[in-house]
Amino acid sequence: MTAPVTAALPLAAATAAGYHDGLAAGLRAVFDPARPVPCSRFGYTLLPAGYAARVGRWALAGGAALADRAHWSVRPHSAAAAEGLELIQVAVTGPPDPGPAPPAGYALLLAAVRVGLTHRMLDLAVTHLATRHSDGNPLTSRQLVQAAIAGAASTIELCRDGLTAAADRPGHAGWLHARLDRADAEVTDMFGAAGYLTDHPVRCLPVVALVRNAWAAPPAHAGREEEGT
Amino acid sequence: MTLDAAATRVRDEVREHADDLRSRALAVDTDPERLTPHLDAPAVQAVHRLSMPGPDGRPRRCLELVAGLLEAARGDPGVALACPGPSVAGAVVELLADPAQRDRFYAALAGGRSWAFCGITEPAVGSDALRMHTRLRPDGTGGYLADGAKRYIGNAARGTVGVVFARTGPAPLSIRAVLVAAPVAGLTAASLPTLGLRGAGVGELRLAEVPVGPEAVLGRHLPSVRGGIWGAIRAFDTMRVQVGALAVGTAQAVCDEVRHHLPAGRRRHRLAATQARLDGARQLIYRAAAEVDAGRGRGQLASVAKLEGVTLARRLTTRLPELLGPGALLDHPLLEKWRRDAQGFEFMEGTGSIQRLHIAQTYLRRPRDGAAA
Repeated sequence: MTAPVTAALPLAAATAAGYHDGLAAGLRAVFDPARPVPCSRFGYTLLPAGYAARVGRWALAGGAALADRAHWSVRPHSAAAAEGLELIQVAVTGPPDPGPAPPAGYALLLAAVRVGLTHRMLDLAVTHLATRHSDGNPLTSRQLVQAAIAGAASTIELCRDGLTAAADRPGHAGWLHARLDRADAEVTDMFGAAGYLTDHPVRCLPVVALVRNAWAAPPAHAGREEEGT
Repeated sequence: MTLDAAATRVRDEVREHADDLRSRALAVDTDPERLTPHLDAPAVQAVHRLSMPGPDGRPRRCLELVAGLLEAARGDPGVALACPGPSVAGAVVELLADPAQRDRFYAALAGGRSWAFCGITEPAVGSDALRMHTRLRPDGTGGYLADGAKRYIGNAARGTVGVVFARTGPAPLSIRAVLVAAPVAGLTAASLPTLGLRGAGVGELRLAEVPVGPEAVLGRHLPSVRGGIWGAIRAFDTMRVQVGALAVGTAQAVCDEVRHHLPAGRRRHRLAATQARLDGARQLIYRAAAEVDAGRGRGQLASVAKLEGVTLARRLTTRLPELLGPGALLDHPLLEKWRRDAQGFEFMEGTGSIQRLHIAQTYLRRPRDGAAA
């Protein structure tokens, strides 16, 4: 029996790295030189600082390109840099890769990192909310706040199991990202205006949204803003 | 609802400048403190004129303001907020200032090269104005000395005039609004690094024995119940509709940009549904503004306008770029920027949770015989 291509994916390690050490550490934990790095239509992607030189293959709009047939450069991006990432622009310099591209799998791996990262930010948010008061009571005693906490916590647990369920079907990670997008927005709001400052820890969530945008192809219902997922 | 002639004129004038505002968006986002090269642009001057009293000296109606702001944000919300003008402080001045104070305030802003700040939010209590700590204590000569701190204030570091809310005692009615000109001894300001809406110049103010003359206390000519915190609450109604307009304008900008880059026929039917939703939100903003102008309601519709406008903007700035394929936020910097900008609307003039509470409370208080339906 052939093992699923993703059976050995380091999902738990990615989640743990995302929780304990942050976005860049999570991406370093899932990086695999043999796995093509997804890029945008114009050849942009995000990687942990210093990792572009280790990429073996780029997944570009026109097909995969071996590293020795592409040129890459680091572009300025302050938000990415603050999270230990680099914005990379890739341009093909040689003929296209003649072989079939192996399955990327990064969408699922990124979802695993995100579960840890969202969980960490929720823990920070709860600590923050407990120190803020309204009418003499901590904000964590408010039903609206408790509902938001419950929503994010439920998403984290659902996605934790969803990772395992999707491990054999890495092309079906879109729903995980859609749920995590929504949870990230809820968690970010818990910090109030403080979470809108670039020196706040929750700044990692807008950056991970950019990584998700490049690494995890949008689901089939992309753009249907009325979609509730 | 249909815009009247005056609001239509304002909308059309600002709409003509939307492309120019958009052309400045990334420059302002990258270096929000370097605004001088933009200040003389006809587009920036048009937004400045919109924010000031009309040619007859009377204040702009909320409907005119939102009709123009929505188009300015369709150009770019960051540049719209970077344009010189009275901003939130203008709404407070219109409600609380006497004629001499109003003249002094607008004179400081004439010419289109200066900004105003409005200090309500504080580090410890956020926008819960009733619990603010900043205080005014008598200076012994009929005036006051102001002490305290304000945070997340638009135009904080670049404002040359502004309004600061502070309390003379513990009771809610002891909260007063005062005019402050900057620079002044004891007032220090600094910018804060925000994720988006960088053109808004969000920052913090610190007041240490800032002298406030009796002539600077707003609302002296009004009954005490309408002299202080009442002004902040009413100003919030106006500003919430304006934030809703900025949000809907931003959502429209994203829709325009995605339509521009989307190959013909590809998923365009989805944009048609999105446009219908945007048109509905625009109508809601207009109706809420008309209600503010008429002095109707308890601000419920203003809260609805803000809540729905911001929700739509956050949703569309997240989802619509996906129509352009993976990495669209990296390929199209404006789309990435508007996504950051839309998140910032959440924290202006009360969060979504605050709006929900307000909407529920006013709904629960209204008659339930169906007459209001």
